[in-house]
Amino acid sequence: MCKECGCENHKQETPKRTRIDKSLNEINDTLAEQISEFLKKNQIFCINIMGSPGSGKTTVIEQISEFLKSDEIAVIQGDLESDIDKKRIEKRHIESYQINTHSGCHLNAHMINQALPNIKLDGKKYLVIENVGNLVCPAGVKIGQHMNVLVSSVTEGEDKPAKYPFIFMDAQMVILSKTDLSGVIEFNEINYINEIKNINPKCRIIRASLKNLKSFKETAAYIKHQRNHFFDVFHDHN
Amino acid sequence: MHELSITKDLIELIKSECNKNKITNPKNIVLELGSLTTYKKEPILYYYNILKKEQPLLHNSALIINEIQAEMQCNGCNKKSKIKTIYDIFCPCCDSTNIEIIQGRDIRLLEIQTG
Ligand SMILES: Nc1nc2c(ncn2[C@@H]2O[C@H](COP(=O)(O)OP(=O)(O)OP(=O)(O)O)[C@@H](O)[C@H]2O)c(=O)[nH]1
Ligand SMILES: [Mg+2]
Ligand SMILES: [Zn+2]
Ligand SMILES: [Zn+2]
Repeated sequence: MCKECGCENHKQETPKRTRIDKSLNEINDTLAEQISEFLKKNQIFCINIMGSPGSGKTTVIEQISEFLKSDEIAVIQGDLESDIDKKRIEKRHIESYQINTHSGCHLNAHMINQALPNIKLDGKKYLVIENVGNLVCPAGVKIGQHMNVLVSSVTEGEDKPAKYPFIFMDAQMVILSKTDLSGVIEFNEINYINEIKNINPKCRIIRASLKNLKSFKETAAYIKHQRNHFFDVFHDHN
Repeated sequence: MHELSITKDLIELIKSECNKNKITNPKNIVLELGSLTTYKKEPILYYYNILKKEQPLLHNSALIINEIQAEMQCNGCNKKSKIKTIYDIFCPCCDSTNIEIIQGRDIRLLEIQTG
């Protein structure tokens, strides 16, 4: 007799334990790995740019493109709605593609995989992906990137590394943006940098500001350096 | 809100694993949640109990979440140690910050129990 409902025809399964041991991230991560390999084979270095809404992600892409060759860059924009950022990038004659996630709080490998056939990748050395503005959800989600960059602005406050550690943990580079406003809001850069060092000691931190365009030259140089390193191209370490 | 999509992924994975392993009445679903993921236990349980109502296969099921503490391995002295908070990610043996996180960043479906 069935224990659940008392009927005669409802067969009871014998108790058993079936070992599964599968990651919930597996489907996404497998696809991300394929994207990463595909880009690598084509000599394209893929950069995932993350940060809060309005932290200056698009500004960073615009400014570093001045120091990398614009025909060597392709950009994917991730936003809930609109193609405003795509249009900003296209003004600089850079190949750009917009993903609208609607309610989605971050990009995933599936979205990038669908976007790729729509982008001219011939001769490109960099694929720059601007993730959805968000300090929580994009953290740890693989999209095929070879490098994580976090853009974090002084106006968000110096406690952001302590409050949102996961996204700081994975970044190879943190761009502290809008440093021209540090004085106005009495932002303590030392505290901020120490907080990051506690979580992610290997991370490169660069201060950037539209009032000091040289800071984007330094940013571009570091990205170039990371690409050379990734492809094991001869480079000097200065 | 953030845990909704991972809970949906979980349900899809349970369904496909039940199908593959010919399980028709899953009871305890055991999930392993690392302390360094962006997910929390309570919201996953909350969404699971709502979403399972739409899934006849899962009506008798209960989700059990085992939280596991993250671990690091030191690149200097090779020792493994627990990570209590992510604000002190350095090796307790030799103080090195050159470490690898070896456990705690994953969320895994461990096993499905029946009967
Ligand atoms: N003062 C100052 N403002 C800046 C700087 N960089 C960016 N901004 C301003 O900050 C605002 C947001 O910059 P965006 O580059 O659009 O930021 P975003 O992160 O791409 O924004 P979303 O894509 O909407 O999340 C704009 O008004 C920029 O002009 C800076 O260095 N200094
Ligand atoms: Mg933008
Ligand atoms: Zn989210
Ligand atoms: Zn050690």
